[in-house]
Amino acid sequence: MIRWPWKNAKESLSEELEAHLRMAIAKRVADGEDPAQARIAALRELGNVPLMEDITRERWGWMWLEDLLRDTRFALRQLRHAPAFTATALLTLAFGIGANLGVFQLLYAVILAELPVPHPEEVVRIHAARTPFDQSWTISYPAH
Amino acid sequence: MAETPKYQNRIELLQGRLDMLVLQALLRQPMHGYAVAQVIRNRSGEVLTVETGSLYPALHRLERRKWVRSEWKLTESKQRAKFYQLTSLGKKQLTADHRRWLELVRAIGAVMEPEVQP
Repeated sequence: MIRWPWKNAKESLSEELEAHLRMAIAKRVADGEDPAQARIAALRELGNVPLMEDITRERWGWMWLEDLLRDTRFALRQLRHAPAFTATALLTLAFGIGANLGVFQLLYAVILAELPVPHPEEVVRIHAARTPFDQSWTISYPAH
Repeated sequence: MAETPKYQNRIELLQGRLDMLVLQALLRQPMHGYAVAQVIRNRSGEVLTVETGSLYPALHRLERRKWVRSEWKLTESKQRAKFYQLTSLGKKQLTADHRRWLELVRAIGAVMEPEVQP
């Protein structure tokens, strides 16, 4: 797995909070508290650690990317759980995109592309020709 | 078992003032988060307690603003802890904050005139 840059910061924060907890317990024990009681009391004082980590991390400004990645991974997992839907959606997209691509390629080759002639800007006159479809005359106009 | 003061004696701090108090705590020497909370609590005579839920976001916020800088060091008991130190920028901010606070206190004091004794 790629080591995202914020993983270090996250672990650093966890370590920092752990150090705080250790010191809080040590102080209580030094004041004469029972170690088990001290731990419980110190933990309660520490409060909601995941919430605190979230708030602190939010300030770093990376949350949006992490959220995006998490959401993407979740979405992919969900798709894997619904194969019929996924297949349908993918096929529809493939047909849609493919059809559009094909049409545009054709359009490009026929109309938008340059004439298969060297120096097309020098073409002055083009002969009229009968179209094979409806037997009407078409004359192409000089490309300026 | 240590005596815990009554709940109503503990005042929750507003975010703006918390920054100032944390900067002030770091004025004399660099210290870790736990020590900052202790200093504020002891100096205020147990009146002001900073919840860790406010303290660490505050410290990280201050660091982002470059008012403090952090470093991992060993404590007296040879434990690893993140020590925070005031920067020159932070010192300027502290002075400005302190001045603003004094103005505020003066202003409020002026409004709350002492009651005239009959």
